[in-house]
Parts: sequence; structure tokens; C-alpha cells
Amino acid sequence: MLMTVQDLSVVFETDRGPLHAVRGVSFELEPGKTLGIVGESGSGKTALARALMGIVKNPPGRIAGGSVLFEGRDLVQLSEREMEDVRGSQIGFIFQDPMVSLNPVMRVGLQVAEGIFAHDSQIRKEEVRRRVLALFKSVRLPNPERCYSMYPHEMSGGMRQRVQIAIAVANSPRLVIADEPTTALDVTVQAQVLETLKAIQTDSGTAMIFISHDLALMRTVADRIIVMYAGRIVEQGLTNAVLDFPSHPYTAALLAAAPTLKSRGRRLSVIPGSLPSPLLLEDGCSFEARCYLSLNRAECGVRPVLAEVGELGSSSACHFSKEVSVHSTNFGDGGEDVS
Amino acid sequence: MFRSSTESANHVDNGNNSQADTVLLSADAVEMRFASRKSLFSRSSSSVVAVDGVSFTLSSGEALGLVGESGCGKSTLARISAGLYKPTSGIVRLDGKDINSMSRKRRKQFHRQVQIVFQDPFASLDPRRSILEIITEPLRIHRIGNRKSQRERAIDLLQDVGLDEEVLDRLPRDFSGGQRQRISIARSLALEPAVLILDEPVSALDVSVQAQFLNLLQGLKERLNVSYLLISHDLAVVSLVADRVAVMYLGRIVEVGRTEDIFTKPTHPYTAALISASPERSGETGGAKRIILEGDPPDPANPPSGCSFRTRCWKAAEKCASEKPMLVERRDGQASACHYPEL
Repeated sequence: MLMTVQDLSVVFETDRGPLHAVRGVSFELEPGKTLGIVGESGSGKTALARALMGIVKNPPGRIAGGSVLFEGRDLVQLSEREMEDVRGSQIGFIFQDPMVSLNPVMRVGLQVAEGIFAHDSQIRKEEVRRRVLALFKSVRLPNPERCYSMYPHEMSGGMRQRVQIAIAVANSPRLVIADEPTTALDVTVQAQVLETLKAIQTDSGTAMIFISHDLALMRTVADRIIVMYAGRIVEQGLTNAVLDFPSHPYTAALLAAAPTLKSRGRRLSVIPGSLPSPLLLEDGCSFEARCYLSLNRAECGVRPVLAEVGELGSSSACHFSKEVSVHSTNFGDGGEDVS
Repeated sequence: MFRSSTESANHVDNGNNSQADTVLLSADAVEMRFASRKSLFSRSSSSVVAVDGVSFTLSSGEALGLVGESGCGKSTLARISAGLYKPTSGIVRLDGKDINSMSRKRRKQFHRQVQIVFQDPFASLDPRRSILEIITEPLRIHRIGNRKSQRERAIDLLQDVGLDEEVLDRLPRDFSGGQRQRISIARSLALEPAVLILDEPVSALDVSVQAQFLNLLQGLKERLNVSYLLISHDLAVVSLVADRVAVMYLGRIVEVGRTEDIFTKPTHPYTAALISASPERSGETGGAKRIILEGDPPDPANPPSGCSFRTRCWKAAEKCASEKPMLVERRDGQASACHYPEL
């Protein structure tokens, strides 16, 4: 395993008490594979990503428990200095908005070069430039020489995201963590950037954790996916297995709620209610109040554990995972539903 | 009825004869230029053509979807249609009357009939006003009813959008994005408009909240017989709600037609590329080849000659650089602007 996450919890201290953003998350990632993490806002996916990157802001946030084993070391136990060394050389990052993560007053070529220098101070200047240009070529930036001396604001969103990818993979990391990397891009540009990410992954054998709110996107990027709800994993498995044969009612409901190009004129299934407060630590299933399967059944008062279900190898945290199907989520005309 | 007129390069009529005489809102060769000065110190100014001779019609009870990527001019067109921008040239008509040469009184009447709902429900509601004040503001501006009847109307409107009357005295900060967007809709419906212009109404919402809102839009359309001009970058959202779809690229409509036709039998390469690039939830890709476009959309300040899509098009030939393609009808009610359409 490249990365093994065990029972990871992230807590933020607030005026109203501790906010449990990530609640005991465990998963494994094999080398060279892509793991997708999906969830809606408030699911804890970004807090989880930041915990893996070691950039949970403390205070108010802290990792309240668990471990992140990466190549034999527990990242949670590392000092900030040691973690800095891991970041950028062994783990690369791509964020949603390159306008925020890139330095606006520095030529982008130098920003990529900086990352290479930081982890190899002996390297010659010409060699760095050569490597940056090669990177620009591999992320398919048009005219690498010209791009080298451009400032971020002179580039389009798609080009800036390519620069971020170049920075992320500059030191051939074993893992890239991408948090909503294409959300700010137009669909045709998104398709290009995803294609580039995949090509780089195939060439270098880099593993990737891809975080997104978009379930459909996962089909084109991820080998396996994790579906998060209220800080916990509610379902995980092979991407196609989860998307075609969901085994958690939340996954099924999410799939049924999303319009497709073929859903013309149809009413969409809706998920009634809203997320439980992240300040509460409930005893039962956190999806119970919104679930079409719970029907006041006593079992739902006990929190379900993530367990393997069915022949497809998916795991689901639901007492009634056998009753889940994409077609069973119809809540009727949700239009009049009060959220 | 389709006219391929020469004077308006980009003209589209409703393909349906029976509806042609009930056209509510129409744009005729609308063009919008924004002046942009090159730099702080240079006097020479250039202009960006955000909307480049667009025509469309919206019939009563119809939902017209407008799709395209950022910078294609769809939001500018929405604002022109709502009377918020005066086009540089071209005419927008409501019930056949030019909205930009109306008397003040008439103009006020226009704003009663055409309402716009914006993308960001956090920016479009005044944070210091109660929900009651927000929803009844249009009624007060147009001096409709008294306090009591306005309050009653607000309660009805909230009911229409699935909210309870107890929210009346609360402030926007008490509500989630989806609820705020319902409040925006309630306000826009206060004057019983004939046309609702929806500019990216769901792109700030989570999938589960988005579903409720889209169902609401569909329900309202059936119940109130209101027409929608729905602007979105999300093809799935548009395909769900719209009867007809217009695809925009760099300020022009490149394809328009009935929703099913556009999404199953696109004739413009850009439409095909957009569909191909949209992630589909269902696994069935139908064996269609995946189209990945080269490069970025061109700079609107410096558009390519001829067809503006040619710089990214795999079919582009010499003719595309020299000659701007006109919208030409390909099938019943479906028109596209391409020299080499897919048929």
C-alpha cells in the first residue's frame, strides 16, 4: 500500500463547541491508482484532504486521532519541517483555484523552478530550466518557452491549472492530491485538463487522490471511489460498481438527484431534509433522518459500520444495504418539499 | 417558421408554427460592445463584442435554454433581455414592442412582466431586510395592494416555492443557499411575470438541493404558464427544463433547436464537443467517440476571422477562416452555423 489511513478524525474548535469535520475515516491507496473522494458541501471531504496534506490550520483545527501511513511513515506524527519535505517531493498538490495558489507577481516558470530547487539545492540553473520546459510540454502548455516567462494573470484558467499540475508533479511524487482541480473550469477545458492528468499518471505511475463534488466526473478519473456524508465514509468500492450498483441509500439518492442529458422533463428524486449539525455526535446512522429506507426501523438507531456487501466488493455503512437500488429512491414530486 | 435572413446573420425563429404567433420576447440581431481601454496610459481604446448579432424568440409558456462556456456572452444576453443593458444595436421586443424605446410608464410595465433571477443567492438578497420585505419589495415599488394584502401575497408566494410563512420575519442569513434561491424566485414571481430569466440559478447549489430547485422550476412552469430563459453552463440542467436550446460560442448562437434534437443529433461540432465533454452519470456512453478540443476559447477582444470556432475545430478548412458561417436550418426547427455540419 502506498497510503493507509486509519481512523482519521479532524476537529475544529468553534464558539459553540467542537465541530467534528472528519469522523474516523479509514482507507487504503495502492501505488499508481486513483482514489476519488466525493461528497456534498459539509461532507468533510476538503477537511480530509487538508489533513492528508498536513495543512489543517491549528488552531482552530486539529487532527484528533488516527494515522496516515505513507511509505512507512505516519504523516500525522511528523514535525512541520519533516512534513514540508514530504510535500512537494513525495506528495504533490493541486487546488481548485490556481489564481489563489500561484504567486501573482512571479513568472510561472520560476514558480515551477522554485519547487525543484527547494528539494535539490545542488541542481544547475540550466538543468532546472530544461526540466521546467519539459514539464510544461508534458502538461501540454502551448509554447513552453513563452509560458515560462508569463505571469499567472496572463494565462487562461485552463493554462493556470496546467501550471499547477506541472508544479505538483515537478519532483515526480508518488502521490498527487487534487482538491476539486477542474471545478472552476469550463467543461471542454475540464476534459482537456483531465486528459492531461491521466496521461501524466500513466507515464509516471503516480497515484492520485481526486476530490470532487461531481459523482459523474469520477467515472472518467477514478479507479475506486469513497462517498462521504457528515464526516464519514458511507460507501466505497470500484467506481463503476458504486455508480451503477450503489449499496448505500445516500449514494443512490445522489445519483437519482442529478439530472442527465436524458432526464428531460422528468422530476428528479430529492433528498429531503439537510445535513445533521457537525457539532453533534449522534449515536445512530447520520443519514437516518433523510433516508428512504429507515422508516423508523430500530436498527438505524445504532450506527452502522462500513462493511463489505455483495459480490462487487463495495463496502457500505448501512443496515439495509441489500435493499438499496438506484430505482428505489423516488420520493415523488419533491418540488414542494421544504428543505 | 425559419427565416435565414441576410441582414441578421444570426437569426432564429421558433420552429413551431403553432407557437409562432404567441412570441412573447424576442431579440433581433442584438449586438453588445463593451469598450475596453488597452492600458491605463494609452488613449487608444478597443471594444469587445460580447454579443454579436444574436436573434431568438421565446414563446409564451416555453422554456428556452441558453448554454455555452464562460465568456460566450450568455449572461450579457440575459441582461439585455431583462432590459438591464441597452444593446449597442439590434432590438429586443416584448409583445412586439421595442423595450428600449418605451415610455417610462411602459418600461415599468416591462419590468413587471420580465424578471431576472441571479446565480448567487448570497449576493442577491439584501442581508438587512426581512424575507417579508424582500418578497414584497416589487409590490411596493409598483404600488400594488396594501400592507395586509402584500403580506398575504408573500405567504402565497412562499407556499409556491415550498417555504412556510413562519420564515417571513427572518433574515437571509438564516437560510441555506437552496432556500435563498427559493426566496429569490418567490420575489421574482411577486408581480406575476410572463417571463423569468434565470441566470445560472443552480450552479451555486449542491446536487441534492439543486434537484429540489429544478423540480420546483418545472412545477412552476406548468402551474403558472410562465416562460423561462434559462442560462446555464450545465447541459444536463438545461436538457431537463428547456423545450428548446440555443448554444452560444464567442457571442454568437452556433446552434439552436428542440432540446431532444440538440442533445441527440447535434449538427455543429461545438455542440457535439460540449456534449462529449459533459460527464454523464450513467455509464452508457453509447459508443460515441470522445471529443477533446484543442486549446482555449479565443479572446473575445481579438476574435478569429471567419468562424470563431475554427481555432479549436477538427473540421476547420480554408473556407472557415475566410467566411463567417450563417445559421442555416438543417432539420425541422434545428439550425446551425457551420460550413461542414454533421448531418
